[in-house]
Amino acid sequence: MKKMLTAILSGAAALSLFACTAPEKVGSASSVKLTFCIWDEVQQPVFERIIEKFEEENPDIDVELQLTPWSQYWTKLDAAMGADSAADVFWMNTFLPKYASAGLLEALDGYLEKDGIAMDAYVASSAGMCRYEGRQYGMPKGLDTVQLFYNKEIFREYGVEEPKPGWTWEDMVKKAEELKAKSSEIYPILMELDPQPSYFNFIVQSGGYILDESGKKTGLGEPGSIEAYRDIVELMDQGLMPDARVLSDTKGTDLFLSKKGAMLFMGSWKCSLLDQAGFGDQIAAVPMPLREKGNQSVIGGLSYAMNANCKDKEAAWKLIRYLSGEEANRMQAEEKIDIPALKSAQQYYRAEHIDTAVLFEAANSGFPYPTSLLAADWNQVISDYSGKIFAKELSPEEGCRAMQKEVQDILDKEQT
Amino acid sequence: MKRGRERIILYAALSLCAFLTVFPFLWAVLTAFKSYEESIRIPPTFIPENFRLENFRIVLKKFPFSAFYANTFLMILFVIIFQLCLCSMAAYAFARLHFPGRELIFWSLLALLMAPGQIFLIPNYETMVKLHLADTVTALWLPKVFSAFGTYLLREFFRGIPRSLDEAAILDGCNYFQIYLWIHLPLIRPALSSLAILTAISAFKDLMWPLIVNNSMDKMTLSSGLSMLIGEHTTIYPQVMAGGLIAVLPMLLLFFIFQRQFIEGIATAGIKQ
Repeated sequence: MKKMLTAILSGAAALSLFACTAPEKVGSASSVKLTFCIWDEVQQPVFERIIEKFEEENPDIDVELQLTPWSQYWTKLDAAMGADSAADVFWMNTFLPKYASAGLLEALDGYLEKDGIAMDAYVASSAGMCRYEGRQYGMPKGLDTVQLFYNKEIFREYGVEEPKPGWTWEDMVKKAEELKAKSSEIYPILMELDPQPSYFNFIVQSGGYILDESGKKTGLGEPGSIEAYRDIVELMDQGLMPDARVLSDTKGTDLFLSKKGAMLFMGSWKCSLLDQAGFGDQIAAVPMPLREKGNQSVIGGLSYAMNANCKDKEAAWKLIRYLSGEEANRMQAEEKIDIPALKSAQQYYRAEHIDTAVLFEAANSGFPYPTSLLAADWNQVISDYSGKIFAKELSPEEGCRAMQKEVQDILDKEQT
Repeated sequence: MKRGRERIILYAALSLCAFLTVFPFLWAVLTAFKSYEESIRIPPTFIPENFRLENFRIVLKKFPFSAFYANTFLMILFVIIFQLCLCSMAAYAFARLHFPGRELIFWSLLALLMAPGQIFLIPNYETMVKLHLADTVTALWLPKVFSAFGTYLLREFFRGIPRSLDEAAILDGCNYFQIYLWIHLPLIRPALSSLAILTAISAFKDLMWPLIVNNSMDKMTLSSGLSMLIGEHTTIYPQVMAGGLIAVLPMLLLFFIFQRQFIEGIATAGIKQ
């Protein structure tokens, strides 16, 4: 027993010695080391290739790509910021105001001016999302739009006319009713009950709003907002869409890919999944149906931000400039990772089966995902109450009234 | 006859329970052989249409599993050794020695148990950065060398040992440390093995801390490394399951070897001797 323990211990000691003395990656003596942190595993291979190319063009810069999964990303960023050991360049999303206002992000305006880069080369709502109090704190990466996808095979089989651009919400309900009358096997309408692919669009399309232009007032209690929630609940009540219980067990996308649904509201960020479906040639995209005030899509998207405490800001800027430039965008677009926010690179984004013009149109008419200093807080409130409305614990009116109050309280707190 | 029927019912109930326990694991194993499209299909398939090894190939290529194993092994080993030493010494002191403020210190130690572990994440991280230990294998285990729970558990066992043993030892000329080492420790061996097992499990399961403190892929443990397979919007479950299977196989092997100690260790944790 004792012998075994000694053996294990000495083995461990040897291992730990080995671990400590493992040779560092060799680079040229004068090389600058940069760290770049992302959260999406799916995009990692593309980014490794992008960085390889960047290093070829900039042999004096050595970039280390770090992957922290989404669920730990923000905790880690906060901890690392506090200890001044965060990555030099990292992905940012709608939480940008929180970090920019705390002085943790480097404003990029000076670099942009020096290199003569004009922000109007990017889609306006994407560029606007990484601006805070008039200054540019990030360079847009890509953008997400929401549209409706449908299964042509199902429409053909049941003899229902396929959706056409310019259709209305009423048209959609009518088609769903026809499909329902002909088959009890399929769900006519599917969506994931998250803000971006679902209710944030409908709220704005009905004349409601999440934040007003000043960003200080919420319109979640407005008639338009209530209307949006009421319409979703109605779809469930009429059996045109699975209820919240089914949708929380199984993702709407999964049901659609299993040919259990005819129409699906889905974000462009999941487009590459459609090619894996095995019936991709039967899937088509169409703009969302028109509601009272249009069919505009929420536009989300990420940006590249620079750590304000970064050691070598010139090198970090070079990396950001490359990442948001044409070449890096082309590589991502070709892998169908993202629709580039850089307009000149959008031509490279081609989906195998669906008409990408639908996505670009949504990008041009869309509105940015609302954000503010305490976005994380009020987003939580909205998703909690929305869940209760969809589970029918609250009526749309009750839920919206409660959201209005709580979200407004949070927004008021931002002002003090 | 009646006994026979009782037996049948008993076995039926036990088989049902066994099935319920094994089923999720079986499901995970089978999913590892499916294609992504098959894994999300509705209605789901149980047996894969064809057993593909592709997921294992992808995962093995993506991750340095040998580093994951080595790091996990080192982490667990050091955590166990230090916890057993430090917690048992502290527990002995709290159980037997008389010093001013003993109860106060003990209860404030217990208060640590009430605080959720996440509270310590950022301070621990900052400490590691200041010690220049962030992104090292040492950082994986260093903050886990002591636990209030372990101290509490072992103190309860020490208190169960009759004082007459201490007195006899003192008469024979033992000092406190010798009593601890020669008399008390051997008596609470079952408690020590339960503590070792519980700490090993909790260290193995922890994926937050390694992900926070370390950046490099080759400084991750098995669980934290595998969590990197979770994408933002889509997760390729067959790959996660394949990775999980590779990660869990050695542990299963260890479990079968040490099965008796394992079960005894957990069973005795609740019994005061």
